[in-house]
Amino acid sequence: MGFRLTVDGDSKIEFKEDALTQVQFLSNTPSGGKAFGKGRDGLSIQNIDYAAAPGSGNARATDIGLGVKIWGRINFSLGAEVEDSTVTMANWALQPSDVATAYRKAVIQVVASGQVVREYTIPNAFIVEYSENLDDEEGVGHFYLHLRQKKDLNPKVELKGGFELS
Amino acid sequence: MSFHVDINDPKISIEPECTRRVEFRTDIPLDSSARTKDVGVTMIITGKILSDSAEVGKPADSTAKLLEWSAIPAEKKEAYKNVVVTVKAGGISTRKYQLPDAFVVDYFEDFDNQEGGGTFTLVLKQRKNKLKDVMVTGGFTE
Repeated sequence: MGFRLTVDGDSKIEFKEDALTQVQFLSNTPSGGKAFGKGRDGLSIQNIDYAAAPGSGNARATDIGLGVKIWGRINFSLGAEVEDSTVTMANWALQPSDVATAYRKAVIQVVASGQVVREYTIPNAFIVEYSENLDDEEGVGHFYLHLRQKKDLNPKVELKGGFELS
Repeated sequence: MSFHVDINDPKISIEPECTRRVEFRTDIPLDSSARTKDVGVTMIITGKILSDSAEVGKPADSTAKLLEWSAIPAEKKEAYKNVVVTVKAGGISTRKYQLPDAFVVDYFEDFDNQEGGGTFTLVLKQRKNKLKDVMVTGGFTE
């Protein structure tokens, strides 16, 4: 099972199966949220079973948050023959909200056995969390990225799955 | 033991091969000195997202429809669905949970490049003013 991420903009960001290691898609409402369900937090990759009591949701909330969390490797390119997209990613994360490119179109694909199991298109994605982790023991670095769709434009998110890999 | 998850209007049937765990729980406030009126029901369904497909281009399972459901806003009537979970063992339906006005509180999909399939976690609640419509039955043949 592999993952691909493409982000449009002046400087295109592209990650393939060799870089991305984990993907989590989230659809949260305020009565549930972060303190509930199975998930992962930040760069620590172990699973967390939240034991907290569930929120007291009386009925379905209008305030839905849609996002994607992505974990991957920073593959330092030998001889710099391949552009490292994490540099562009880090610069995107630093951008303030008044810049037009703060919102970009992101497409995440989950690929297995010749088919696209999931394709998430987030047309107005912005970065909520971005971190990079490097040390002198490992040959590669690790990054963690948390993207969210601009909430008022939630209907523009496309969620598809189960079609042939083109 | 196998789980049959059926969601109506429009119909979504999650394949028994997918569902791994079903948790049904009642949410009763702990800080009450007498019985509360504010009881809620939560159901957590976790399972596998299959990636294999006999026919290329045809989804291997129906979990993608859960993803679509989780993104439906509250304004639409499709946000509430009739959820029936049947637990079958040895030819007997040992449990049948019916949540006729269930809505999605949280939905997660997890994928990992060290595994062949993904996992999903669906957190449902019954609309609180329709709590009396929740039915728990069991011990019959179908």
